[in-house]
Amino acid sequence: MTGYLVLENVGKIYTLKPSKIGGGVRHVHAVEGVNLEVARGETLGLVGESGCGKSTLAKLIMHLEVPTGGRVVIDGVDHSRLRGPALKQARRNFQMIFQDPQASLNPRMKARAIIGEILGNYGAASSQRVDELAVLVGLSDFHLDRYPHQLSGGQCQRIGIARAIALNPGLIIADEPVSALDVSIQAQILNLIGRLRQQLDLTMVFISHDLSVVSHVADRVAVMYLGRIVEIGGTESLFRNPQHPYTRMLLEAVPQPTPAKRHARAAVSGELPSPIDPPSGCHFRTRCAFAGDECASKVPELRPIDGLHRVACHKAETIASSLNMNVA
Amino acid sequence: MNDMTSRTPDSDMVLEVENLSLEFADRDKVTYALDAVSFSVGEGEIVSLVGESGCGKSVTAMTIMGLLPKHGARVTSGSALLRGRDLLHTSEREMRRIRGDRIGMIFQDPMTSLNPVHTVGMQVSETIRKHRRVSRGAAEKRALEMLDLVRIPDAASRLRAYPHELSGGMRQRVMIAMALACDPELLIADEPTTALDVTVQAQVLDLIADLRRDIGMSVILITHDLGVVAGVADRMMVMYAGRIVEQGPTEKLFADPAHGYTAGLMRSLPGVNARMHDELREIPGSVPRLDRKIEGCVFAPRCEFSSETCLAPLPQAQERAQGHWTRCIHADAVRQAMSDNDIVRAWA
Repeated sequence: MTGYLVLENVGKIYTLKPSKIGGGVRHVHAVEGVNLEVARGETLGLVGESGCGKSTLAKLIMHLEVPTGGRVVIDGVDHSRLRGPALKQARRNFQMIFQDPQASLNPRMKARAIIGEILGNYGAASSQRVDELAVLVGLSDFHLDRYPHQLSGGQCQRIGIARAIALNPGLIIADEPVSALDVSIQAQILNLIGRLRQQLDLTMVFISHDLSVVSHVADRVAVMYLGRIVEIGGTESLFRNPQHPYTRMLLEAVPQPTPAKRHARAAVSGELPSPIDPPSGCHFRTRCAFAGDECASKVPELRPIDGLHRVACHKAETIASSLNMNVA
Repeated sequence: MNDMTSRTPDSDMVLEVENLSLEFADRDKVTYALDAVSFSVGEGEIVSLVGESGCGKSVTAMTIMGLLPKHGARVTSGSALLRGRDLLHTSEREMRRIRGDRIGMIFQDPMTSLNPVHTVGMQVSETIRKHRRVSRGAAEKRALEMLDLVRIPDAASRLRAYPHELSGGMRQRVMIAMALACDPELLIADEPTTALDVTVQAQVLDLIADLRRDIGMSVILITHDLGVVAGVADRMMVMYAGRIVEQGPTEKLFADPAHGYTAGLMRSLPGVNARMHDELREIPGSVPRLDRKIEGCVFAPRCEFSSETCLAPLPQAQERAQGHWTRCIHADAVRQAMSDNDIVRAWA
């Protein structure tokens, strides 16, 4: 499989200024050693708690941040080698859908101008194309002549999507595209994204903290914890048969709209440690009931469990068998 | 019920809201924010107000607490009885005594609700000293007990911490500790977990459920998340455009929704129940403007079950089963359509 999007050992370390009252330079390991391949037309879901590095990873892919290690290759092009006009042209190919639809639109521009602007930036201004895009995302002339504050959150997100697909990109990064929307609107936008993905053969990275949303849209899912991918696999395989104790914890924590499952939830313990000084070895060991000596001394590598399903946990087999025993 | 002050309340009800209607007037524009909202909260009961943004759930809570602006907001009918005492006809001076003492409140964002320049210990004991004549030392001792109660690890040292030194989940625990410090009869929690991660959300929800069991508090839980409701609420009230469209025991509403809107919400949820990559059932359109009085069903324009009769003035809410009320005249059709739904099946 040659990926449309390939991340090779990508890392991002932010350096914090030393504090005025002493102490040395500190580093935040926002993203560490991430290897990923996303095939053309595939949607990869990226999940994890706030602070786990999802959005930093998105910025690295979008070339809004430069990785401190490794490289990002989109459709065979490594953008860190490009500068100036060449980089600008390359950016046509990867676009982003943002979380807050209202805040990501210029309040002084009408919808028509917002969608038209990106076309103009690339010398492709065309009112016909704007109309075409509006139809694609389900907006009418009525909406195009309004300012963002006159439109609802769902309508604004449609504008954001129209803007993202305007230049026929191959890759879309959607960073929490529906988390600011109400349930009934969320379904409309998820359906729209799903349709466009098929119609335009988009490759997509879909970032969300909402596991049920991710389970609906993604072909494969990667789970991040403190800057590392701890588990990755086909959506169904990962949700039905989670291997990493963190993935299990995340899934158990999701409130299910079924009162019957109320008492089935296992206790969730602890909170995310600081990425400034993460635990040695496996980052998750401080919250893990199964952690042993090995987990403190050795960083677990992603290793295959079942086909494409891979997990970074020394104890995956032990955990699986002990949980099965409990069930029996 | 015209003479509300002399009405004897049901003895086991902590709060009874009756026929509450509210308008916001802004020069020439009137918004009909609440329309005949009625519900009650029993002793040790967790009830949930569910709905999308703008449906009136927070406004309902603010009205009960007397926190709406004096100018602009106008209660046009109804009462809110806290153990028989009408909060809507209580002076601001009195309300200040009731809030924080008999009614505790927690809000969505624990960072902005805490004072950044005071330690959390100081903020919790301040609440206690505001309402109880106790010494500083006694208040601090009580504050420590409260932090222990909400399971803040190493509570004694956390008393001296400032809000920015705590994580989001810990801050929300501090808010809960403050709200419960004076043993309120009622806790109003407005989207208490919306700003938190799922794992932390699960911890806070478990805490609320445990506290209800241990100290028997009554809770109004305001949320937009049906998963949260299913997890902790005994009863739920579904709100849409300023009205309660359906209410009843949580299990009943999930198993047998009897309003087009409730059914629509449940069907539009993505997740383990919906099949992957299938189109989700969307609710078309968007929420109506409330600048005029709507006589018929407020949801009718977006409802797949609606007919012409829905636009005529609605009959009173009908009781379908013990405590399960709906304002939908096509409840039977809704039920029929929902019988093949995955969520309903998962419960049944």
